[in-house]
Amino acid sequence: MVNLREWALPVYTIMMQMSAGSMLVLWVIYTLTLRQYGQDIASKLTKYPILIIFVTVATAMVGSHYHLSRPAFSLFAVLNFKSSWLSREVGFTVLFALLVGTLLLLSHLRPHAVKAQLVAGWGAVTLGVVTVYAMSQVYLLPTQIAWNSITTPIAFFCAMTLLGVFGVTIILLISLYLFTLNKDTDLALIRSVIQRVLYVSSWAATAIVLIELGNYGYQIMDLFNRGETAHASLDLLLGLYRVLFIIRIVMLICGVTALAIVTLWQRKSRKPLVRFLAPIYLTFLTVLISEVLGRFLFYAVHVRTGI
Amino acid sequence: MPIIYFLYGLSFSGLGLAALLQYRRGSVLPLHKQLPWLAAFGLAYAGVGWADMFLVSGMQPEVQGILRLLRMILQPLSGLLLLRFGWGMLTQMTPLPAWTRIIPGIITVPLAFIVTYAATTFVTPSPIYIPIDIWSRYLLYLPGSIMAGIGFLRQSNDHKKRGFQDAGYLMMGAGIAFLTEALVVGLIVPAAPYGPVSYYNYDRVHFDSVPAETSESSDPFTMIDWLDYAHVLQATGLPIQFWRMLSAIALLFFVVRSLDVFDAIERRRIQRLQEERDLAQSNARYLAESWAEALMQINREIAELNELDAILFEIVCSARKLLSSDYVAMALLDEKHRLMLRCFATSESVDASAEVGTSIQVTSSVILDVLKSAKPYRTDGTENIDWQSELCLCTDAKASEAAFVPLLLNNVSVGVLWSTRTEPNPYNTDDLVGLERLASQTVIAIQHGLMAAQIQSLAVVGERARIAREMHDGLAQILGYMNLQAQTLEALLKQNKRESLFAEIKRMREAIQTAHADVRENILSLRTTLSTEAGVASAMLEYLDGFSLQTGIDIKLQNHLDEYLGLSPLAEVQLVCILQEALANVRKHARATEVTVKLTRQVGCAHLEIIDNGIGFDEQPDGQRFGLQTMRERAQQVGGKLSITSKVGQGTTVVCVLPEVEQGNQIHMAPINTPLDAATERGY
Repeated sequence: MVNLREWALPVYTIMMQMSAGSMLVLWVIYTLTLRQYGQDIASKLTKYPILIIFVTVATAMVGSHYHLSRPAFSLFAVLNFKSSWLSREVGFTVLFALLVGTLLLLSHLRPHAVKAQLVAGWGAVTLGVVTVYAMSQVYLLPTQIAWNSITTPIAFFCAMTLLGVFGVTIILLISLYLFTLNKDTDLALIRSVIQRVLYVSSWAATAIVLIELGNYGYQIMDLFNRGETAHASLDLLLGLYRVLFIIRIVMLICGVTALAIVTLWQRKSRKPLVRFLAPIYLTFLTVLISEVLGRFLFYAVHVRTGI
Repeated sequence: MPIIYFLYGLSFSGLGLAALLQYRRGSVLPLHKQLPWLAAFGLAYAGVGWADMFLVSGMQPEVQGILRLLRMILQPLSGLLLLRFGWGMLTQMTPLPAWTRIIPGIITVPLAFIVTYAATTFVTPSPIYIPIDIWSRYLLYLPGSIMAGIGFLRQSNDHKKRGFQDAGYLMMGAGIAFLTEALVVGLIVPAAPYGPVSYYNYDRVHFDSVPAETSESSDPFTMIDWLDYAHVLQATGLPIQFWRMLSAIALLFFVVRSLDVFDAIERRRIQRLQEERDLAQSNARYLAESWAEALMQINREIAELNELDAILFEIVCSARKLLSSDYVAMALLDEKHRLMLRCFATSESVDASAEVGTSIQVTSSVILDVLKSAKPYRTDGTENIDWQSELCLCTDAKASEAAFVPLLLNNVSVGVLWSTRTEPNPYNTDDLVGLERLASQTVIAIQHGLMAAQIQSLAVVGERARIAREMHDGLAQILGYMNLQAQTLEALLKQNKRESLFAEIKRMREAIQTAHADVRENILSLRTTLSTEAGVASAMLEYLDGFSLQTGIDIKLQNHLDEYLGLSPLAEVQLVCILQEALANVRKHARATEVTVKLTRQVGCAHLEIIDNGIGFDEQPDGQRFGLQTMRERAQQVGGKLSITSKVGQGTTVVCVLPEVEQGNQIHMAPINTPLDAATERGY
């Protein structure tokens, strides 16, 4: 996969999963905040993240075109919606992007239309999850032994939620920094909400990572038990790409551990939350590199069976 | 090629050594903190250049292996050091705008993809030193050089703004050199079959290896045609290493010359410190002079026995001016032990309310506390002041900072002097000491006022005694004589002795004339007063005119004074009294037709000479003439002397010598332009 064209797929899948996961986590936060603190605080919290999610999904869609020979004809893929998971993935991605765009417009033009935002938001969340599910189904091919397993959708959903948790945490921290710069009147309330998000995020991320590690364990066992082609994939994973696989696992554990440490440190030290921007950037970078490496390994270890 | 690599390594080692030496010299500049990173980078990267030199020279395989290993360690290490130096130059020299802190969050995603892509290239079949070289350049040298370049360019602007034009231009050169480094070192990498590397690499920039079809490449990462280094190569025939060497030499030149800025800034810093010291000394001197002058002015007013209210007002005005306050006030206890506002002064920015002129009792708890505790107090900018509106009485101003001192008379508080500022600029210890000095002056003025009142009371008693004595000696005796004469006249009339009767009537008339003259003279003496403005000579002249008119004696005043007499107010009074006494003697006894009065100053003393052309007398012991004794006592009372010389038929000369007050205080009598410009003072 040294050809950059081949990287369009990891870029697309990772960014799409990150968008869908971020949308899910963000809208859970929005709904809870709306109930507890009202529409003003909820709108302020989601103002910047929606924009960044939209930019991310748009970048993912543009990036996905680079692995096509004729990018202009990409939308024709949706014509096989009834029969093809790929067509469904493309269709749901477009719908997800449109709904996030609508939500972005609503949040800026009609900030008080709470019900419409709730419906659009949860609609986008549903579409995001469905897109990731469709994405995972694309790879469940009988000829691709390494992919054709329950581990693929689990890995995709783990990546989605993990990147969503990290993505929203980092975007909310950036938002907090901007609110601090602008001396927002609700700064104290926003800060307390984000502090709680950071705390919950570190626990959620730890749980997801444990699931991911378990999934890897199951995948290795599964490959070990599924014949010659699967063995070839396993050889690649633990042979040629062993170092990268170790780096992937180490970075994943380090990233989530670092987030937990930073969260505890922040709670103990009582320093302003914005002071922890740099270490949280680093944890996010670590986890993101790990996930991109994981996606690279996902594509790299597949060995086709049959013709 | 080895020579090029040698010079390349030499340039960076020179850069590293220069930075190291400059670092060891020490400096307060923020750039100084970044120098260790630059020095370490220069030395490490020189190692890379020299390793390349030996590698292209053709060494034994074992040596080449060691050199390559060394190069593989030094290259990313030097790249990391450059990245750290660039980061420091960009972020720690001049603060970046606050919004730039979100940039790392934005670039996290692309960076993660690039890093992961870089990691995957290590599993390609190419030798490991190739991806190390490539990614050291892309991920470390390129951003490090760009950040260092931008950092130097920002420093260049800063130094230009601070007046270091030459250093500014040199730093601009260093910035451009680092950006050039980013291009020639960070972007052009060894050939490898991935990403942008596959297009823009050493194979493309070595003269003999330019593929013919490059400009028609359909690779999505193909750069636009004019950027293709092949054109430069074809035009100059010079490989990229040559340009790198030139870039390194330029970097060495500009960075080393830029380090001169340390000396320039150190010189400027020392000069500024000297200027600040001189200014501080000058300010301190001026302040001390101002305080001394104000205290002298207040002392002068006290010595001149001016009105107490005027002196107190002068004190608050002085305090306001010297302490740069917005409001200064003084309150004194009255007979009912109430603290009453006595006077205050405000700055231009503070308006007095309509309450001015009315009697105002001070109720502020903080002022009363100072009065009670008899201790000075000042706010230090941290108090939560809820009494700020109580301090600036008769105004709408609110005090932000304040200083209070008690007025201690015999260790008992009799009032408070306080000063306030509306801006949050606390008073310091020196201010409080100054205010205490003024409080001491206030107490002295109050004591002087009390003493002056006592003296005045005593003077009135003395003057009454003198008038009673005069009436007893003159008018009462004459009236007694007149009573006897009236009885004599009655007896003579009964006896019908007309001639004797007329003779007695004539004597009676002469006695009445004498009494009339005495009374008029006394009235003239009582009318003669000393005023501060006119001075003693003027009072004398006025008296002499009146005396001459009453008595018909020709009097000449020879005033040799060219300025005010330096006598104390009491001595001035005694001098006039001595003159009056002497002239009364002349009128009564001397039968003179002409009197000369001379007023001179000699060796710190005032001389008064009264010379008449009368009948004179034989000098007798002092105690035998009561009038002369009185004059002598008056002179001695103020530390002077009086001498009388007379001979029968040759007139009489009275000489009175009175000492002036001490030299230090003498200057007080001269008109002085006060440093406190009354025009800027707004007092009530």
